[in-house]
Amino acid sequence: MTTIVDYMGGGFGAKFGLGVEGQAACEAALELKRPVHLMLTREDEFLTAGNRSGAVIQVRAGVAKDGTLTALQGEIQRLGGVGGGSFSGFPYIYKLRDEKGLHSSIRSVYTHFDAARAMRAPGHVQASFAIESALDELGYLAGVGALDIRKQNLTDQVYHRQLDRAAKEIGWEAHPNKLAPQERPDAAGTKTGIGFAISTWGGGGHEECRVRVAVGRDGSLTATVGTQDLGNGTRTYVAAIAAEEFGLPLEAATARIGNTSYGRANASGGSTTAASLAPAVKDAAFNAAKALREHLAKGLGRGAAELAFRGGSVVESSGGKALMTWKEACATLGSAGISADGEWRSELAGNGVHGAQAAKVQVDLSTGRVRVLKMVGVQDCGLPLNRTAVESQLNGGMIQALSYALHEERVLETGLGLMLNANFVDYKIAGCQEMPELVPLIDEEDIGRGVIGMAEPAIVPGHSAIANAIFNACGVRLRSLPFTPDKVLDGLALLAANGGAK
Amino acid sequence: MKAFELLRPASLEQALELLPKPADRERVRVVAGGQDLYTEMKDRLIEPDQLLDLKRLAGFDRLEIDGAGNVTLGALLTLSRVAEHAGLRASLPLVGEAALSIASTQIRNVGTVGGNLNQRPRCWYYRHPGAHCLKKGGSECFSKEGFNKYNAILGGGPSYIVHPSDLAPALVAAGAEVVLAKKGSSRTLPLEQYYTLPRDGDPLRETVLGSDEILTHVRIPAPAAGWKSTYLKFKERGSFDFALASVAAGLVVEAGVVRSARLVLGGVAPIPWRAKAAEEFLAGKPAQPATWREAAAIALSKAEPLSDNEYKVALSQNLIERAFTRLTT
Ligand SMILES: Cc1cc2nc3c(=O)[nH]c(=O)nc-3n(C[C@H](O)[C@H](O)[C@H](O)COP(=O)(O)OP(=O)(O)OC[C@H]3O[C@@H](n4cnc5c(N)ncnc54)[C@H](O)[C@@H]3O)c2cc1C
Repeated sequence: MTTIVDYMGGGFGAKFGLGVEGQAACEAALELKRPVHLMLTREDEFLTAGNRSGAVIQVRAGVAKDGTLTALQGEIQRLGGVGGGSFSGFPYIYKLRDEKGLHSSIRSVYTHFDAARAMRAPGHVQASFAIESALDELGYLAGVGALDIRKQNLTDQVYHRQLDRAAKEIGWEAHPNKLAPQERPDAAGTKTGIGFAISTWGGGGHEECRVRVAVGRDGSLTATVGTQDLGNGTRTYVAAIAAEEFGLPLEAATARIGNTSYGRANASGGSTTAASLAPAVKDAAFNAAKALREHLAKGLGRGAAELAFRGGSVVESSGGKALMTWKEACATLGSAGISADGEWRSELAGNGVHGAQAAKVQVDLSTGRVRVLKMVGVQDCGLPLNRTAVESQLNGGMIQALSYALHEERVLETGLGLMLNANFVDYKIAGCQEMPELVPLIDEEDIGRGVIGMAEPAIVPGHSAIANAIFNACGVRLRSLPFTPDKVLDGLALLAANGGAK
Repeated sequence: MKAFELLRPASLEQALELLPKPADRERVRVVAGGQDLYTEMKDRLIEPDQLLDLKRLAGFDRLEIDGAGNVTLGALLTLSRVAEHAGLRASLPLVGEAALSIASTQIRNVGTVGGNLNQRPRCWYYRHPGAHCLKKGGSECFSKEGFNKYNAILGGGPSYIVHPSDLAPALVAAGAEVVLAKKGSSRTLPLEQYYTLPRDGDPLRETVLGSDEILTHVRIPAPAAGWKSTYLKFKERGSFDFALASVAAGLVVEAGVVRSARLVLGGVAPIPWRAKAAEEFLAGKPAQPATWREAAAIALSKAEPLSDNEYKVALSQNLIERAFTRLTT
């Protein structure tokens, strides 16, 4: 069986495995002996193509006066439909100095809805919201503030560095209400707040991909591997890594991907593609360049080490004197050209990233509308393969987090057993009018760690930062997503009833 | 979607001939822009055999303002044209603002005045093919005990839908009338009386339109001298979205005193909700913030929120204050 996926609009998680719908299409094709086109309706998409895991989490926690976590208890219920659901650990990232103070229990609650699949950083988003909300609340109670309570419970200095950078970029220093919500509304009846949250992800690679890099007699350069582009730029870096090895511009190389007959590749999930694939492309390109140098050296009567590829030419490796153009060099090849295979090289990939984000929001006290004004994302990813793509991925993560922070919700009617809003009128997604100023920052301090995937961590902390910013603005602690006007208004009413600020 | 026959009458007379008897009401449906009707058909909420397309009727898309300032809006006039008409925006800003607040540019380019006023409810249960609710001939309004964040806080029971039209509250506040034609006759009635509460009429319908009638046009009387008006809509999302609550407000203020006021709420009741007690309270009161606050409290004093929509009380009150403040500053 061969799978062909030339282009995919975006793969955010309704994947892994064929699913009943894919199975039905395959069986129909076998039966009919004809191609079958499977197209789900929007409702099917919501009901049978894999969902995101839900979670209900109860947290009890205590801190010392300086904000150090001393006791932490979490009771986690995962909601994964007919599957177990996902939750990635408690506490998430933060650590207790004395683990004796930690207790947690996890169980799955099963419903008749479709199983959760690997959607949008499964488990992390849920785990982030619980700990980031609890810790934030304690930060205000202890009087140490939103930034310091986090640093106080993080031993990894990378987080300190990234939180400081996010704080600087969001304008924390000059922010007037650091230790308590804004007291009086501005003239427009709004209050403004800032919130923080952090993330982590593995993103490491593994041995799986087989890449072939081939140079043709006509000067063509091709990297072939049976991977796919989920819409995140795989095609670009596969070509770029090969082109770079031969001193050629990106346009000179072709990535042949999107077909399983092109050779083994890893499953596109867990943000592991870049770290699994890029080293193998590099290895294949390196091997092919070596082979080409050896071939050319014979003809030129020199040693292979004396030759290098630079600026579209074959040059002397010391001094850089041009010996022949790329085209001339390739013309010396036989009709089969030259090619070499490559495999994953552990020394070219790393594992484990951090991430810190900050959000600035404005809350309209009359309507409960939350407007996100600005988001900052600081993200390490080892060696960034393509800065524009990394920044774009960070923006995309922040945008999706904003969207489910403010709007997205599958409304499940338990009495009737129906999803009430399986369409894009009632399942609301943020549009261009909700977009804030976005500041994507690549943290390059640890660039030497090799390639690490950074797709999913970008989506993990945004909603938590927004929730914390809402509290910082108006004193309403929202404990469930999405943060819609009704919840904000209910929260403000409760505050007013308890004698809090209006 | 079930296959249907498309009828395209060339004149009003022909169209009226084709309208069904009450018993065939579900078999023959009038279509204008189709922005609501087609979604109902795709979801199989309705499965008509025939669609009666009004788009060939001459003059049905007119927008006229006579010398005295009286306005006529044809039923087939698009929402975009209502939103963009400079003369209308000058004399009756609330109508243009309401039209502009509806859906998206694409939908406004196709959706019509008649279709907007006659669109069906957006209640989750009504729209879900799997929920056989009161509005679809079932025995129960599921929103009463179920998910009711978007449902009614005023005038609810036995159905708790809210009327989704933005144009309706604005037009009611402007004192508009609708003209309904049927074979051999026509009738004119205030738009306010066109809509019926579920407890007063047939819970399957929102209006008094007969199966053999078409809404041909809307008439808005020239506003009184000094009348200022606005339509304030609050929605959860910036791009296309229905109102969580909206306010159509009009005022005549002389020497700092309110002479007359109109206040109609959208998104909170099964009909555009005229806040008559608040209107009466406002007449003769000083035009100042304390007055607006009190009027807002009066307008919502009869609210009976359901489990998830108490927020609509404060939201509507705040919007009312905001609307009157906007009209007087
Ligand atoms: C995504 C989306 C967002 C929307 N957001 C809003 C919003 O924010 N505010 C808002 O007010 N609306 C909103 N709408 C509704 C939209 O405005 C209406 O669907 C549209 O105005 C209907 O006009 P139409 O001409 O397309 O009507 P059609 O779909 O053709 O008809 C709608 C109904 O009216 C009846 N009808 C039409 N013309 C007449 C007539 N002359 N006489 C008697 N009956 C008639 C039809 O039989 C049908 O039942 C939204 C719709 C969508 C799909």
